[in-house]
Amino acid sequence: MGGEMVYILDQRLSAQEIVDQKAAKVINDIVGAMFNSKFVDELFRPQELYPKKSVKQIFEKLAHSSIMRLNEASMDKLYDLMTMSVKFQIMLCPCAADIIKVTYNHVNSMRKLVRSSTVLDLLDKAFIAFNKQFERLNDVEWLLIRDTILFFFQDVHIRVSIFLRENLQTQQGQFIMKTNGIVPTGFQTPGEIRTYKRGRLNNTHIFNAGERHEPPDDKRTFHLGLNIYSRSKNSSESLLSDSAVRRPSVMVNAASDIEMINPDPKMIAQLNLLSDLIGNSSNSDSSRSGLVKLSLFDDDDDEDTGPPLAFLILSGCTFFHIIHFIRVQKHAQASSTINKRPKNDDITIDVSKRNQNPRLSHVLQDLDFDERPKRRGKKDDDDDDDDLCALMDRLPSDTGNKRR
Amino acid sequence: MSISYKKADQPITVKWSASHLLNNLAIFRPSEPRQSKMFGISHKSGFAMATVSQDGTKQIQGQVICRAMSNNNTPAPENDARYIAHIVQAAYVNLAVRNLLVLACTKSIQIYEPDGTTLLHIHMIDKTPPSRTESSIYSRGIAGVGPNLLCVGNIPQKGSNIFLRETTPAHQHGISGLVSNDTLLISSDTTGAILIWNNRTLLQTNAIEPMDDSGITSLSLWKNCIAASYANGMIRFFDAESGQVAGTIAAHSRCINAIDCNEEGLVASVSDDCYVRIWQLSGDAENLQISHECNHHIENSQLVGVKFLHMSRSDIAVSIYDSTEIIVLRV
Repeated sequence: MGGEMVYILDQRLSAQEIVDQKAAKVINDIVGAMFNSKFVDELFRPQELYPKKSVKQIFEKLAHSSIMRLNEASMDKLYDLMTMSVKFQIMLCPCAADIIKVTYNHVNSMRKLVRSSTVLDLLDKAFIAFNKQFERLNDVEWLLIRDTILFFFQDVHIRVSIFLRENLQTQQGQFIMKTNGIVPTGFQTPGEIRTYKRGRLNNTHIFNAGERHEPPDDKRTFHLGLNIYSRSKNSSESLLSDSAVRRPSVMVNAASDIEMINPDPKMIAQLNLLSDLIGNSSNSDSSRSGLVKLSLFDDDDDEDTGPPLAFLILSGCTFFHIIHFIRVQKHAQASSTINKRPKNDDITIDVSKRNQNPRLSHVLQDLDFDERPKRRGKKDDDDDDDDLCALMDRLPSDTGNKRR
Repeated sequence: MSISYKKADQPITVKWSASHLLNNLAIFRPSEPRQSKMFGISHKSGFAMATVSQDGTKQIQGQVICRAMSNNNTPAPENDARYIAHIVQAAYVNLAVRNLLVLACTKSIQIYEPDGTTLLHIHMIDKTPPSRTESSIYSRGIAGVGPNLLCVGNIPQKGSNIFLRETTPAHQHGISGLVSNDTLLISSDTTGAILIWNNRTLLQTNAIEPMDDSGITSLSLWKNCIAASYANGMIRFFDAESGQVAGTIAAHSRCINAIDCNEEGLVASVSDDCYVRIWQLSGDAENLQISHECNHHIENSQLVGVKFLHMSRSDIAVSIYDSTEIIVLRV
């Protein structure tokens, strides 16, 4: 999902004609934070599937790791866009092991968008580690990985305008599946029936499979995971359809709903690590006043006043997701050595030193995927603007993160 | 093609959507003709089911949630992320002595009464052997668990006195399917190897080597013929006694998620390519004839489970990823 994030980010940066240098810095910072080696090592640790809330919070932290600023409604839309993109890619993978190819596309395209050599190094290292971990899986094991990732995306049916336009999604939010054409590597084109007698071939005949199929072709480029926004770089169309209504997700009993559960203390530790890392890296940034504001919306004129907070587009890298989810099945549950319950059940993303917006922190606490109402990016509070302006002028000091 | 299906007027709806798992449709076929059928699908950590009356008009929904168990085998708080288990496979098991609902979850096997009301037994999967926690269920109350363990449960007629009887190491890789009939037990694994066991003595009688690089996703039995579906879209049939291949079909352009056989030799296969295909077997494993009977396309749906409604008719039920409907197809 991080890859998607970077794609959308890049597109919006150029759509809003942000100064080139700043745009580059934003991208470099975010990708750098995402692939920071300590964080990546943490990701490779065997662990359970993360709850949706926690994943979202991780991306919010990533979003704030650069000079870009997010407003909350834009962040939500960004996250939704990321989610649906990755769901599309995973669902439409012809065979489960193609997740590697999707990841490769993400990493490769991100390389084109990043302009710092240290960050490129990080990207490469992470991808090599990923390959090593997962090269020896057979196809049924990959199926289990894919199935676990699909748990995360179950019941999410948000309509995305770019998918609707390109005829990839129906009006109900389902993806359109076309399964004719080239079959994946290792498959045979459907149609042949053979019978054997005493182990020797006896008879061969054909049945009509109802579709036209072609044999596998390794030389064709694999499209899932590439940057679909790079084509529409010049258009200023909004990325999400105006009527992007989230279909009410099925209400699941709280006990079984993965999103409502308390996070693993190790996960909290990981988030804390991430915020430390981000804190450290942003310390080296000199210019705080060069904050970049980005919005995911075109209709910014109905915003009352004040600069819309820039939206960090968080598309997680599929890579990022896989690390978490694969571990569910691949390794034994690492036995937790922490015996007491974690004291902080909610993870606070501390932006309070930079932005005293109580509404934002409050919303972060209550973030609940199922019950959020439709939003169109309008701001409710007017006092936001004062804070935001104050934010722009202030140079925040970065001393350790407060955690409740 | 001699069979064509029509969607039944009344679809079966359950509360939660089906996860994308192999063999994700469980059906309880009652022994008495007047009893209602039960259909169920796995959804992440829960099992959603519907009890449907004989004529299909009355439906009652129910849900079972996987219990979360902590490390020392005591119940864990329900919403602690470390202990949430996902269901890998769920099935209704018809034993001679009683009927059960078995949920094979990551880290444990949980056994319930068929209506899901009572938890009869939880068996925690031993973590010391290799880490994968895939499980499969088949009839006869034997569950395959873990990468290479085969467990036999001893089920008494009433009450919750179920305990583990025996554990037999078998496959080198994760077990992906288990199926049995009166005399034989067949197990398959993720590399495509199949082992054939004698049901009573639990000794291995035969082994079938993997045919190609693809693993087996689902197993079924008809007479003495083993039907195996593969992740690369193939279906292969083997003679259970000699272990020789009896037939192959290049059936689907995507991974086959489930197959099922009925007593008449009909085989149904479903796949991510949105198709249900029906095949008719005749003869027997030594001299098999296969004919193709039906292609049924369900638009934009990745099909994850299929079961015949009756062992002697061709009506089937199909489950779809991310959908709360179980589609019933009648001839």
